Amino acid sequence: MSLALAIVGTVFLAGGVFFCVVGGIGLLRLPDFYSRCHAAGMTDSAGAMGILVGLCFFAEPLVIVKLLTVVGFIWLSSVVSTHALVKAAYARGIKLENPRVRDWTVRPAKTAAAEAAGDVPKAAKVPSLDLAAMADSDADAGSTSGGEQGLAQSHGAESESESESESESESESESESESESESESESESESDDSEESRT
Amino acid sequence: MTELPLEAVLFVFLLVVGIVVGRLRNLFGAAMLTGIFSFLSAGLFTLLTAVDVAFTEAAVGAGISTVLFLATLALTDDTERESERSWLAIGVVSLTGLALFFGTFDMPAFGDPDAPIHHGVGRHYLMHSWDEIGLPNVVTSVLASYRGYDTFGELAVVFTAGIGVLLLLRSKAAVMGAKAKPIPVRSRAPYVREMPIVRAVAKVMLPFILLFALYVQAHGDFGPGGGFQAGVVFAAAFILYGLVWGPRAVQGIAPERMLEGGMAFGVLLYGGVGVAALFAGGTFLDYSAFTPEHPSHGQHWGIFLVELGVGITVSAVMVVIYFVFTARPRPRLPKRKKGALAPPRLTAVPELPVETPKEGSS
Repeated sequence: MSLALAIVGTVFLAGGVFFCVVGGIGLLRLPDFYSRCHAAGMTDSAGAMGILVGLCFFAEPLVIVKLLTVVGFIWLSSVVSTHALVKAAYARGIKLENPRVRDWTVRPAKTAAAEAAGDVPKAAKVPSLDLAAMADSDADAGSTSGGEQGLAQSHGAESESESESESESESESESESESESESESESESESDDSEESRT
Repeated sequence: MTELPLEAVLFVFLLVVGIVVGRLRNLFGAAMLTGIFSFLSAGLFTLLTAVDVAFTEAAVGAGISTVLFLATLALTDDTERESERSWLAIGVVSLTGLALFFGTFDMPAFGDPDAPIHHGVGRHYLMHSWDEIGLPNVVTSVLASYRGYDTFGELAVVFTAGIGVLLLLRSKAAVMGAKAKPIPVRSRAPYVREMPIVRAVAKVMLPFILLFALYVQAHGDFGPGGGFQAGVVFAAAFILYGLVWGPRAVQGIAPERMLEGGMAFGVLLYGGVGVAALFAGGTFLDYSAFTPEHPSHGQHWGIFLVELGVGITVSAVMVVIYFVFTARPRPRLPKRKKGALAPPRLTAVPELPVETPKEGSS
């Protein structure tokens, strides 16, 4: 019996170690910020889960409860922090590396219409900067969940206040977020820096 | 002996992280790396079975101070300026480092039975603390009872730090949650509170964090833990709340006056217990004087109250420091070079024009 438990536990431990190693390799090798976040998040969730659950098979009952609690909290906190990280990075205009991957939050019909109206030339120039799309998706999520009235409102005045909000953002502070006039090299350097801070 | 390779690996990592922190110009990355440094130290302390110290290092070094570093970075720039290389400074630093390095040769070897630490009062603490204090965790006995003076001094240091930060950094214009001009949605990154998932999960985790803080506070007599760690964990819950729902929401549940009162109250409680021991006929901070017929009962009460004072002061000071930092308006910095990264603004978020109505109020 104890041998069987030890074998199962070792399998879990080996799985956890495997995911940790793969996550580490992915963190170094994957091309852009988002896939690196995926690798890091996998280390947190699958790797830590495997190791902690594996340790359960070698532990006393009280320790098992503690370990499983830790698993639960890691699943809550690290997954959500990865989510917040990716969302913030996306809103700040960090780009996907692979051009074949289609950015599903961009709504081509709307962009095309706005382009035809001639009021968002920048969105056409830098298609994957997507601050507008980000705000859109946020507003949508808010209106469905009922908690985002402020966002929805401030976004409602979108069409006429394009230039206004632009100048406002510059007067607010030049550093709040990557404003839309910044070039692509900026977002590249940003992703590099983020990589440093993660590793 | 079997753990020696792991310790060696941790030491190598510590060295690498230390060198990288020294060489890194990106202060955001450096702040994160100092957190990693603290975690590595905590791992080393755990290997040396100094679990209390490891807990403190993980909570304070890796947790709160990283957050405070980030709050500071939100006020300043996150790239170190290039400065002239001063040979005088390098010489002084190298000489000091060499002196410290040679100093280590005089230290006893690790685990040396002849080391002075095993022959002074430490031996007495280990042999007699169960009879005199009656707590399973000798660390708590030493910290709160035998060396109660020292811990009182540490608490006074924390208190003084809180007062200093308040005096230096709080300005009339920067009361907590001061009105800042809202930044239009489309020209900024989303605040944390605009992410429904983060809100939901934070709401789930907050009560558990608070409960854990109370557990650590109360369980310090029996296992690793105590006032310092509990205070920091408690403050972490408030900081998480402030990160997600904004500084003003924190002010709603913990007004500034209450926090400032708490800062002073904890120190007062600690000192008051000491003075009460004087009145009961003992010496300062001699808890046995409370119940002369049964000394260890008095010790239990004294240690409990003293740790409570530590916890209250530490948590209040941490929350106050954090929110004084984040409530300050961002000073105007010199224009950065093109292509430089904007510093992360995780903390000093102005209020939304319309607060989240239902979820935030509960």
